[in-house]
Amino acid sequence: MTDNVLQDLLRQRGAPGRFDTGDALPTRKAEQWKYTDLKRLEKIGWTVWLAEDVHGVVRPPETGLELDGAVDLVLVNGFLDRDLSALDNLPTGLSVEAGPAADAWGEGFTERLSDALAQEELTIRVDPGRTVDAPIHIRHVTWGADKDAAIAHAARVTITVGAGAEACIVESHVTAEGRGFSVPSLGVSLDRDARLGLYTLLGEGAQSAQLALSDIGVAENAVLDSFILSVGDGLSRRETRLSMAGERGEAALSGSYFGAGDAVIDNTTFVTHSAENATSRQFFRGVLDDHARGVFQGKVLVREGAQGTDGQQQHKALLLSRHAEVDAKPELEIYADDVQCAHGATVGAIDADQLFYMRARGIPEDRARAMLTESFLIEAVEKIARPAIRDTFRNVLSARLNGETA
Amino acid sequence: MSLLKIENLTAEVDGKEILKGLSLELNAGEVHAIMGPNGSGKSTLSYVLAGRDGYEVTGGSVTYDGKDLLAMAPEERACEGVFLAFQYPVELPGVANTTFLKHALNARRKYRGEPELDALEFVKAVRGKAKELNMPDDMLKRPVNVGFSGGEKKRNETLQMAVLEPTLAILDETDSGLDIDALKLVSEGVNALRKPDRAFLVITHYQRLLDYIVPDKVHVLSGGKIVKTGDKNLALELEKTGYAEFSGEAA
Repeated sequence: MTDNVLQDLLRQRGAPGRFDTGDALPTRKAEQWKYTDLKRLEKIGWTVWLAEDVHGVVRPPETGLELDGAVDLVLVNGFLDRDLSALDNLPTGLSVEAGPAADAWGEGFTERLSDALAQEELTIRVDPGRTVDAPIHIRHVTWGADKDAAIAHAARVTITVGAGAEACIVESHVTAEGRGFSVPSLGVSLDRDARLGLYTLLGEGAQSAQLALSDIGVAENAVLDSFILSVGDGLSRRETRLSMAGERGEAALSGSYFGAGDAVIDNTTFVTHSAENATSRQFFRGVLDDHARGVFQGKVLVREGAQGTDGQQQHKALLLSRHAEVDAKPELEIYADDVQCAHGATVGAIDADQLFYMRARGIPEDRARAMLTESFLIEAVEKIARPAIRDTFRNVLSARLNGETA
Repeated sequence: MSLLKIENLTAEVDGKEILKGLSLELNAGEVHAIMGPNGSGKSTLSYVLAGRDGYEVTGGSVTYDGKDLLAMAPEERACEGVFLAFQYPVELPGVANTTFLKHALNARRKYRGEPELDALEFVKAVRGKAKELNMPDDMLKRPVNVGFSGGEKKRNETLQMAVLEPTLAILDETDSGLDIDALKLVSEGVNALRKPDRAFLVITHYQRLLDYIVPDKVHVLSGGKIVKTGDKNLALELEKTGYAEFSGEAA
């Protein structure tokens, strides 16, 4: 047994690769992992979650996100909990199935880790032409037998929104007991004319770690509105690959993050435009305090022939502490000539004029800073198209910034 | 006892001395104007009084209501009743005007040991005052000063002043960037706030504002000092002769 537990984990699970040389593990020398160091994960003795039978044992912690009128689907350590999930009265046009995960090995570290750990796959389908009004809430719960348990698991969810169908999906992640290392993967396809709201809340504690993968395809005339709110204290990396492969598809891929303590929050996006006249919008805001680190790696690739592409990307970050850090790497790669693409990235501190103006009106400095921080992050939250989710996320963010647990 | 007593105040910005022994006394109920050429230290004085970082007091004293004003943080000064109407009001994207005002008002109430106002009480307290200043509800909901015209920004400053009910209001070039209608409106707003236990320090380059806000005394600030003090007629004189008489000392 080496001291590299992640390598051992992959080897145990039979993942192909040259683990003896360490090649299967990304180090900060690898371009995609330059800013997110996985060292903190390597010394912990993660146990792979194999047992499925936790039904009736686990309750989602009360601090988890509650959504009124939502269809709750609870995944405990990656397995669908049929007792806690609302499977009996699913809205018309919505189907939910759980089955064994496919046995295959993908390329890349996160893929392999996910392939090694994933055992069950949840399939969500919205039938063509149907509108599901109730939000579908996927509640990811990490649960260990005791507070010292370190559980590694990988939920796998695929979502298909049929042609002309409409749905709203919210994902949240909580730890009920122990600590979790989760590698959730999400595959989403929007068929032509489909509309999907896809909202993710990450708010786990300092002990948790997550390496998430999302693969999203947007077909002709389909509209995706997505948002990631990261307010956790642990390590979370979210890699989103968005494929704009249908003409006139529209996608918003935005997020806000707040990191304090030793949090690491990494949003890595890769948007590929391969069809004409599609639009993608990325709007990210981040605030980092203490020793926290934020990473934004955003790439927009416009393939030959994807004329009329409109791809915008903006990332702005505020640093509240000298020891906080943010690394932003926006990239544009364009092979079509009639496109509108722009990216912008700024990093700064709280504006001294704004702070003084607020204090000159009697608002204490701490409060003024908190208000400026919140308004900075809310500007991205305001991009959420669905008012109920927008309000919920705004409240979660506000609670987090005001020191309450999310 | 005077409400504000500035004695031999010296202050520097970026290592450069701007105020060079400024003395001034202001009683409750009075309106004093400070006039002076550009670069004489007018804005520096207002920022020093409000407690802005980077404006370093190197000597002298400022006594407000019997207390050492310079020892207080900016928010303490505000809670003690000092209000600076900014020459260039700052935009706060994402912070709604009402939210901002409510935090400001409640911070002051808390400081004084008064109960904080709830949303309903607050709206009542603000709405009437906004109406008097011709401010539509929409302006209250918008982010602070974002997309406001020059006149709207100054009206918003006046509204804040009306809601926060300061004891000492410092108006820093309130007339700059205002057309005559906006100037009248803002002046009326200020005049409505005049009362025996409140004092105003009106800082301006031009006499025009003083046609509407008539001062009890006019001080000429030049070269970082008060070089002349008179009644409202001094402002009219300055309008005719300009600041040339004092410019030698300003250099």
